[in-house]
Amino acid sequence: MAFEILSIAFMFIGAIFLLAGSIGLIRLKDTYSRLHALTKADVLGFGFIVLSCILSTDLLSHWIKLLLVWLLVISYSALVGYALANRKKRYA
Amino acid sequence: MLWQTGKKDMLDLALGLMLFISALLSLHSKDTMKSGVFFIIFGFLSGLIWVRLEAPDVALVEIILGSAITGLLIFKLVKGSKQKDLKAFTFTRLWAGFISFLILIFMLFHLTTIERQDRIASLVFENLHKSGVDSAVNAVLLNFRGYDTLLEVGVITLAIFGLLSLGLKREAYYWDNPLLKGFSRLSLPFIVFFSLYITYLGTFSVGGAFQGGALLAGGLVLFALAGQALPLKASIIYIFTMAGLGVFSLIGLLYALLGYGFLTYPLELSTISIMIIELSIWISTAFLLYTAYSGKL
Amino acid sequence: MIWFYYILAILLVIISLYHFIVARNYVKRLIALNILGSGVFLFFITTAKNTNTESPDPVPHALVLTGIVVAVSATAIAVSLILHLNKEEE
Repeated sequence: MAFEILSIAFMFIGAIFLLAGSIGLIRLKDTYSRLHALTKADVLGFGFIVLSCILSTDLLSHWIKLLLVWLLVISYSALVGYALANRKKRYA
Repeated sequence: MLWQTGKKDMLDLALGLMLFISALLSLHSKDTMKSGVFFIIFGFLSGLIWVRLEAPDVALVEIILGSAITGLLIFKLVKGSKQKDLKAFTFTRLWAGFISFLILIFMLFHLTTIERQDRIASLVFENLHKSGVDSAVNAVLLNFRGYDTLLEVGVITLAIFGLLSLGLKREAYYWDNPLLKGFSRLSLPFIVFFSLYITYLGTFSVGGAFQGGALLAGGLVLFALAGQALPLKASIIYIFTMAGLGVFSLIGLLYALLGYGFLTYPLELSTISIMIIELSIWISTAFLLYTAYSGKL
Repeated sequence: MIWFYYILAILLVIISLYHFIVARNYVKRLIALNILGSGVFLFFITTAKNTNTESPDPVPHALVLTGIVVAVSATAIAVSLILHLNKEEE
């Protein structure tokens, strides 16, 4: 019971972080600042949502799969952030 | 709890609204780059709506193929061609609007006659134990309507023939960077293993040959985006590409020669036939879609 | 709530059909063709949900699966044709 309430709470917190990341992506002026919003706030929000999904189930296989998903998303997000920053530095 | 009450209308409304707005933004924007980006978002939201409508196998294929690979192909076009600025005449716009309005009226009229019925679904679920797999979609795809799947593999093979015969010397866009190279090399074995697992999972759960093939195609395209060639001999790549159509039609012909009929599996051998066909479709779909992106074999 | 998805699919089809006829360049036309295909697939999947059995109808799912793969291969060959067209004008 407590786990379910905590899971809903984490989902809301994750949604707020994702909303903040998206507002930052639209409203900030520079590409580098937008990359801060993209790779920090969005990934943190996603991490909270994965945490809420982990708390809402009690199978070990689901936990491992969700942790793998989280690891993959943060590593690909870091790679994409590096790619955008490198391209901006080289060509503009 | 709250998510078990079935009141998911707000989710439907939000997803549908986002889908419609992304489609409008994709079609109305003046810049083709923005059209491509909004198209990728549209494909992703379309996949999510299909998960909501209880079609997870189809959603997997749509998100990988329909959104990501098609988006990559459209970006290949955006970066490789000049913008042709054909301005449409007013007469064309009026005529197009009239045709769209007619089709809208016709389809709305047809909506009123749709009723809730099961067409062949009960037949499929009754005969599921005879088909050799436990997943309904894969039973329909590879056993009950296997001829359609054979022709589909034939269509994609023919399309790749057409693409290769145009003889384009332009290379696909790649980014020569050690980080991307190392990362794609790290993730490719994992992607190969996971796509094989998804293909195996299709015999009893969500998954299947096309889902696994699309995932492996994504991994191979990631490998090619780093500017490195596949470390396979050309003859091996040829064999892998033609394996889908070849193995599928050979199995069909084998059963025709043995007396059962073209692509009619006998009851005991149906599971092993479907597994062989799924493996061949898996490897050939992956390499065909990789060739569709990279333009050379 | 099924009717909402039916109307969404019909709206997608007519708007992409309009843009397919009134396209300003070939990329836009290709995107409109793909959105048209996605609208038709949404119609199929909604029809598959609209059954009396407890899991949805698997036959439209198989048809849509075939349709997506065929649409991707058609897009691939359309992209190479358009690139060829643009290259010959230079």
